[in-house]
Amino acid sequence: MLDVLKFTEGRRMKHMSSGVYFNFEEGRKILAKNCCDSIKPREVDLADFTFRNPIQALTFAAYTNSIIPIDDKVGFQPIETGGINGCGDVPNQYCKNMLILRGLDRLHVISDPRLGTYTYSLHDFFSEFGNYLEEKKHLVFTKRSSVAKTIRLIMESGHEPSNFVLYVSDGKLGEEFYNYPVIEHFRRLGYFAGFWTPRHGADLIAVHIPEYQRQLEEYGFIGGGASFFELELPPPTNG
Amino acid sequence: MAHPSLNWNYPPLQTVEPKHPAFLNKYDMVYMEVEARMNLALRGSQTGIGQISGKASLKSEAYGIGPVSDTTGYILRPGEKFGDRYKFVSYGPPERLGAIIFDSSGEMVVINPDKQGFEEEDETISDYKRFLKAIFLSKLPIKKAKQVMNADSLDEFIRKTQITEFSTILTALKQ
Repeated sequence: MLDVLKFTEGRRMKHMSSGVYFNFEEGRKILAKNCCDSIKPREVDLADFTFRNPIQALTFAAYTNSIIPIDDKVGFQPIETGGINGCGDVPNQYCKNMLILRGLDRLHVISDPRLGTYTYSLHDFFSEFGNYLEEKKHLVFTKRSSVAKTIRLIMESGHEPSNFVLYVSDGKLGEEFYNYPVIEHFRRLGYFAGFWTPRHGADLIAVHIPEYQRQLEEYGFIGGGASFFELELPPPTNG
Repeated sequence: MAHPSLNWNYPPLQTVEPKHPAFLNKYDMVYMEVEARMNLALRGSQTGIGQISGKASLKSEAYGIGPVSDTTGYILRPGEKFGDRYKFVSYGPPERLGAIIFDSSGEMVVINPDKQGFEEEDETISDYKRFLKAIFLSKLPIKKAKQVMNADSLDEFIRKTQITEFSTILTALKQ
């Protein structure tokens, strides 16, 4: 207790920035133990997990600030020069267009960092990139400095980079990582869960509204609970 | 330069007696701290997520995960000191403190709060009902949406979003 009370600004900042945190391996354990019915480990050699379906991959990416390398079919002209720092010899189309799913109903496509981030609605994205939901997706944990190398390895192994979700960190799991297993937990309990908060300012919200959940199930939109992001995706086709 | 939201005059940490059986079994100490600005501690810890913040009614629940109140709590395992490696940070006044914890083996532990409830809990659920309606209404082509809402103006459209049955929107989507 004395240690707590004696905390000074310097010590706290040091603790916050250099404490012993969960690392990638511990993150893999968390996903394997808590999300094992939705993602399977190591179906592709260089991947950490394979998602059961693309919606799971998008949901993971949306709530963990992950990156999906995409090609230049996202509806804007690629920039001729520049690119993500450290892209090295990765073909331009992949270092110029990194898809970051963030929050609700928005896709951020980062191009040349000097030119900022492009934002697309989900509707626009799927209009241009509709086949994205048809392919199997894989998850890779990678350090920030190794993004380009990871994409290169994916390509050299004969895979399409846009079928990979890159959880990018400096080796430690950020708070954002925990969003996914917690959302997954509430999904299974029949909750709607996500970022959008009307008044409380929480990082995440999980809401249980049995009446709406039942109706969505009856109409075939969901099976159990859902993340808000998942609800934003295009509706299932009739029949 | 310190982060602008840091205010080093915040009240000192207080020890709170863990009343919830889940706490008693697993933790020997719960630290509570006033001021949500200590959200920074959560972000710095890189480990925490969790809070169960309210129960809206007997049928519906709203869980806020993160800094939804002005009180911050830390849960330490037996023998741990604040500042040691800690696996979890949670938020909420003592009687509402709930948590989702991940330990180093990846095990997840859910601790339900002793008490639940918000003053504005019903409004929270109403907000989410409107939100869900809006999500699905937005999937309809605008002409069809207007037809479902029988609305001509934007004001009317928004007002009717709040009163139109959810099933009406879902039916139109499936047609």
